[in-house]
Amino acid sequence: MNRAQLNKARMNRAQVNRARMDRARATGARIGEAPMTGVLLALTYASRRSTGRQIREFARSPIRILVVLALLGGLAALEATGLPAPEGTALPSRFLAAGLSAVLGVTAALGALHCPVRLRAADVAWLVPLKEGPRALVLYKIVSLAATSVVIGLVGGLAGRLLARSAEVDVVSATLSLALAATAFRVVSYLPYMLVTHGVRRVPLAVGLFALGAGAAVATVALGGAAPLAVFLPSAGGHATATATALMVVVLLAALTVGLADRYQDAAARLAWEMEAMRAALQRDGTSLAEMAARRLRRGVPSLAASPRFAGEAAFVWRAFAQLRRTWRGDLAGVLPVAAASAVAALWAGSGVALLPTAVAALLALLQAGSTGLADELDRTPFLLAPGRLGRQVLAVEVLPALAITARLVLVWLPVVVLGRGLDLSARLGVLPALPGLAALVVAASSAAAARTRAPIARLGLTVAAGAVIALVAALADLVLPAWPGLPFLVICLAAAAGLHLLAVRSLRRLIPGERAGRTIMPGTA
Amino acid sequence: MTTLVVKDLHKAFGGKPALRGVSFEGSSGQVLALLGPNGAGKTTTLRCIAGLLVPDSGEISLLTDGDGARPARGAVAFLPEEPDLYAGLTVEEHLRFIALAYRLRDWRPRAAALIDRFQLSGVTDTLPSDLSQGQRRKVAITMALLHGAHVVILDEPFNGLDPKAVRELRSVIRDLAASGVLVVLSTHRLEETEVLADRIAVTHQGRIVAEGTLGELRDAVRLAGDATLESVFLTLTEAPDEQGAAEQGADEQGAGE
Repeated sequence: MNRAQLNKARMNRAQVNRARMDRARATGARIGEAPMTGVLLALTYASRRSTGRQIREFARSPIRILVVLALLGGLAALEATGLPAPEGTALPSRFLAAGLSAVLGVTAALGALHCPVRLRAADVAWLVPLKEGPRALVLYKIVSLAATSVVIGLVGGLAGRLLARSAEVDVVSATLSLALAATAFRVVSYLPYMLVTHGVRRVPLAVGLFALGAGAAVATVALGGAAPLAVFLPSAGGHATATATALMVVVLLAALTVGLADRYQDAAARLAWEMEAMRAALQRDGTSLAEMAARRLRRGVPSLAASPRFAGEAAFVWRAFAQLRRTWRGDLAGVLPVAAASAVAALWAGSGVALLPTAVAALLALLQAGSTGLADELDRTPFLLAPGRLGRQVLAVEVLPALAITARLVLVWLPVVVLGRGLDLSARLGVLPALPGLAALVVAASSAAAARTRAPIARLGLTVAAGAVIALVAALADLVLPAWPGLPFLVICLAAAAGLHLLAVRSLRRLIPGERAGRTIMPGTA
Repeated sequence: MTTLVVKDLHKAFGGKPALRGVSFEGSSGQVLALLGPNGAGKTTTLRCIAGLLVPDSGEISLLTDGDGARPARGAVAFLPEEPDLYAGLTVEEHLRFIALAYRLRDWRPRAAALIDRFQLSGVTDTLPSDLSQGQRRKVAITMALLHGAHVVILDEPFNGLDPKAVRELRSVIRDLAASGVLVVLSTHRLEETEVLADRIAVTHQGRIVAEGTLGELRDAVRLAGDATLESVFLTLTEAPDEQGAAEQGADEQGAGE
C-alpha cells in the first residue's frame, strides 16, 4: 500500500469515527441537572456491585473461608465456655459514658483541624463535579454508615443471642444504640470541618469542642445515670425517650452537616489523590513507595556530612541514622498512644490483656518493616554498587531499625513493669530481654522478604507471615518452659533472625548480576 | 454554542499563591491547550474549572445559547493523567453508574454507539485492572461523553502513551471537538500542542502570559511568521519573575503537578 492509499484509508477511518460520534450524540438522552438522588442511586449501585463481586471472590478462596470459620468457631467456644470478667475490673457505665463524651469531643476537635471526609479518587472525578455531588457524597457516607451499623448490630446481636442461647439480649436496642453511636461519631467529625469551610476559625473551634467533650465527660461522671450520653450504651437502650431525643439530635446535626457540605471538596480531593497515589505505589515496584516515604522526612533539618573515614557498611548505618534523626519524632508520636493503652491495660486488665499493647506494637513494627531497612535500601542504587561484604552490609542496614524497634517495644512494655497487676515482678522484667530478640526477628524477616521479592505487597505479606509465625512458635516455647521467662523466646527469635539474615544474603547474591565477592559488579558477565 | 469563561482566578495553598489571576475563554468545538512548564498552575486551573478545588476568588462560568450563564459544575468532565475508575465495576457498570448519577434516560443506544466508536465492545465485562492504560482512558472519555459533558478536560493526556496510542488519542480529541465539545487540555508537549490546539494559553508562574492561535502568539512576542511554538514558548516563559519563582514550589506542592 503506497502513501496515498494509506492516507486515504486513514481519512476513511476518521470519517467513520466521526459518524459514530454523531450517531452517539444524536441518540443521546436529554441531559438535565442531576439531583442528589441520582448520586445516591449511583453510589448504592456501585457499592452493591462491588460488594457482590468481593463476596464472590471471597467465596472462591478456601483459605479465607477457613480463617472465617476458625474465627467463628473461636467465638462460639468463647461464648460456650463463658469468659468471666476479671474481678474488680468492670467499670461503672457512667465511666464508659464519660469516656464516650471525651472521645466525641476529641473526634470533633480533630474534625475541625483536618478534613475527615474520605473519598475515592473516582468519586472525586465523577461525582464531586456534579452540582449536588459534594452534598450527596456526605449524605451517602452518613446514611451508609448508619445502615452498615444496623446490619452489623442485627447480625451480631442475633448471633450472640443464638450462641448464648438466651433471649436476654435486646437485639433491637443494641442495634439502635450502635447505629446511633456510629452516626454520631461520623456527624461530629464532619460538622466542625464543614463549619470551618464556611469561615469559622479552625483552632478556637477545635479547642471549644475539645473543652465541651471534656466538660460533658466530667458532668457524666458527676451525674451518673442521668447523663445524656448514657443512651448510647446498650444497657441504657431501654430509655425510649432519651433514645428518641438522641436520634433527633443526630438527625438534625446530620441535616446541618449535609446542608453545609458544599466547600469541603478541596481537601477531600487532595486526600483522595494521595490515597490513590499510595495505592498505585503499592501495586508497582518500591521506587514510588520510597518517594512517598520520603515525605515523612522533616524538611529544614540539615543533612549530616559523611566522614571520609566511613565507607561500605558504615555508610549504610550513617544513612539510616540520618533518616532516623528526621523521623524519630513521628515514630514516637505513633507509639505513645500504644504505650498509653499499655498503661491502661496494666492498671485495669488482667495478665493476659497486659501483653496485648506490646503485641500490637510488634505487629505495627512488622507492618512498617515491610518498607524500611533493606527494602528501603534495595530501591536505591548505592546498596547494589557499594563495595564490601554483602553479609556485613545487610547487617549494617538492619542494626539501626532493630535498635529503634527495641526502643519502641521497651517503651510500650515499661508501663506494665511499673504498674502491672496480676503479673509478678520476675515475669514483668523477664519480658524485657525478649524484646531485642523480637526486634531482631522483625528486621530479619523484613530483610528476607525484601531480598526475595520487589513487589511491596508481597514483601509486606512475607515479613508479617515470617515474623508472626516465628514469634508465635517462640511464645509457645516460652509457655512450655516457664522457669526462664523470656529466655526461650529470646533464643528462638535470635536463631530465627540469624537464619532469615543468611537467607536474605543468599537471595541477594542471586539477585545481583555479576560477581559480588570480588567487590566489583560487572553486569552482564554472569 | 457553549463558551467557558474563566476570569481572574486566584488560588493559594498554605498562603502561597499557585494561581495569580488566570483568565481565558474557550468555545464549543475548540481544542484549547494550557501550555506551561511544571508548576505553572495548569493542573490547579483545570481542577478549579472541574469544581474539584475551590478557588479563593475569581469566576468560572459556562455560557450556553438559550439559558445564559450558569455554573460550570455538572457540565464538565475531568480526566486526569491516570483515569480514575472504580476498581470493583466493569466497563458496562461504569456506564450504568454514570447514567444513574446523571439521571440519563434512554442512555443505552448512546452508550452502544460510544462503545462502538472507542472499540471497547470486547471489554465491556472487564474490570479496570485488566484494561490497558489506553483502554482506561477511552472508558473515561466514554463516560464523559455519555453524560453529555460540554467541556472535556484532559490533564497531561499524552504522558506515558506509546506513539500508536498518542495518534489514537489525537484522533479522539479531534472527534470530540468536531462533535461540538470544548476540549481543554494541559500539556508541556509542544509537538502535540502545535498539531492539535486551536487556541493556546501559555501559563507561567500562576498566570496566563499569552493566549491565542499560534500566529497570534508569534505576533505577541514579535517573532517571524515561521517561528516554531518552541521558540514562542521559550520567549514567553523565560521572562524573569522572582516573586513567581519563589511561589512556584507552592503550586507544585498543592496541585501535585
